[in-house]
Amino acid sequence: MMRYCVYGKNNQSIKLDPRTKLLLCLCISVTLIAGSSAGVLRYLNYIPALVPFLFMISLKKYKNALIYLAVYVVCEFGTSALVPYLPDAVNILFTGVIAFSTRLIPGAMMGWFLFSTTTVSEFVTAMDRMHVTKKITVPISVMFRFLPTIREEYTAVQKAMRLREIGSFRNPVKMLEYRMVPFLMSVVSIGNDLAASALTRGLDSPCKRTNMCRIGFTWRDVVVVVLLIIFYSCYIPIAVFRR
Amino acid sequence: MSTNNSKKLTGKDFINIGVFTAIYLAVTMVVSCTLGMIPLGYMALSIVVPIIGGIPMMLFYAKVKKFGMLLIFEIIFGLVMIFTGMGFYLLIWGVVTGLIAELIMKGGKYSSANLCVLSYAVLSVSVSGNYVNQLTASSEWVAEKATTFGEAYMSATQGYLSIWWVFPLLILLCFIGGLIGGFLGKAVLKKHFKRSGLV
Repeated sequence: MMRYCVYGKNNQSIKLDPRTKLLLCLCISVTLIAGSSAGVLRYLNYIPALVPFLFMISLKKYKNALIYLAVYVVCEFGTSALVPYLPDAVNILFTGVIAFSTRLIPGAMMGWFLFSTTTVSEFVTAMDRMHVTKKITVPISVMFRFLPTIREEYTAVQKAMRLREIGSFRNPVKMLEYRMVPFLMSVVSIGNDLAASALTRGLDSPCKRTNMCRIGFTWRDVVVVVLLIIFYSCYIPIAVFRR
Repeated sequence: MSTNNSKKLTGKDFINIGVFTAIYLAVTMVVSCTLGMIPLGYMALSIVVPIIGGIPMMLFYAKVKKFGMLLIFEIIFGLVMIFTGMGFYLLIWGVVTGLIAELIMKGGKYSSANLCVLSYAVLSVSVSGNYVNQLTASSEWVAEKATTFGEAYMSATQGYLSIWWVFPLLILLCFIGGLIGGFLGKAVLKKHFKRSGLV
């Protein structure tokens, strides 16, 4: 669980403090979900949507960045251009979901960015600095360590079941049972191993956890926070005074 | 480990919470990405997610022996939902239902299998917290989007939610789904996991 920072991703071009990334994540998802998109605010909403794109460029993940941009542009502009020409049945099925996803995708991408550029150790350290208890940080870090494992195990089970020709959609209950049970068996035993290894390394010890991560606010974090303040000093007055 | 008897949560419990939150999250994501694309399917999520989540959750319940595990589970699930951009209502709902579920389990001294199912059904009600987002935003949202997306889709999803009995019905559906999922999970637990000595 504790991946040490010795091999940490220090060569990335934009290195922000995990707390700043958390703040960005929170701001983007709250602004897009809870905010309004009427009038001028619609154009202001493009700014938080652009943030994950810029970060992906900075990580040199050009392909992902382009896919994200394409999906967003199609969802935002493509639907409103197409809708009048499509039959109602198609509109009912897809357009609304696609339109709603323009509000979800940026937040989700930002979450992906947060956890792909932060090692578990850095994350736990940042949480310690914010005085979040171990009760919350340990399960969260385990969870993010576990998501890739889940995918791996599930694909393995899926392949095995396909080989045995069990589990098509014709028999959903059987499919559920024959996939869920072996999957849970392997995941739970991996979890037990993980627990044993973490306990051996002193997860339960009452001492304060030490680490080798360099965490701290730099000028980059200041720039991000200042930009956020500028953005909200534009956004909030417009949102309030339009009523 | 001699700490097994104490009431305090240990590192092993935290890891278990993390593992099962990840599993439940994966189940929720997979189901809602496939089924949630259709308006009626989006409504049906309230019953399908608790049923499918029942099997892993019953396995989790077999490991819940101390106060606080379900609450932490719900808090983390709600936090993840915030950071993936699903809104913050699920966290509030999660804390309330998590507390009630905890109290039910405590009433049965963490050993009654039927109370586990009841507790899981209560916990499942938090799934409907995701709809609050649209419930509150609905009137403004409909007014904005109806012009661009046509009345048809609006009457398909927003329309459902604007009828007064639909939201209580969703909560009820979550509860029933939780009961079905709980009994399903209990049966699977008995059939497979107890026999193989995993629990």
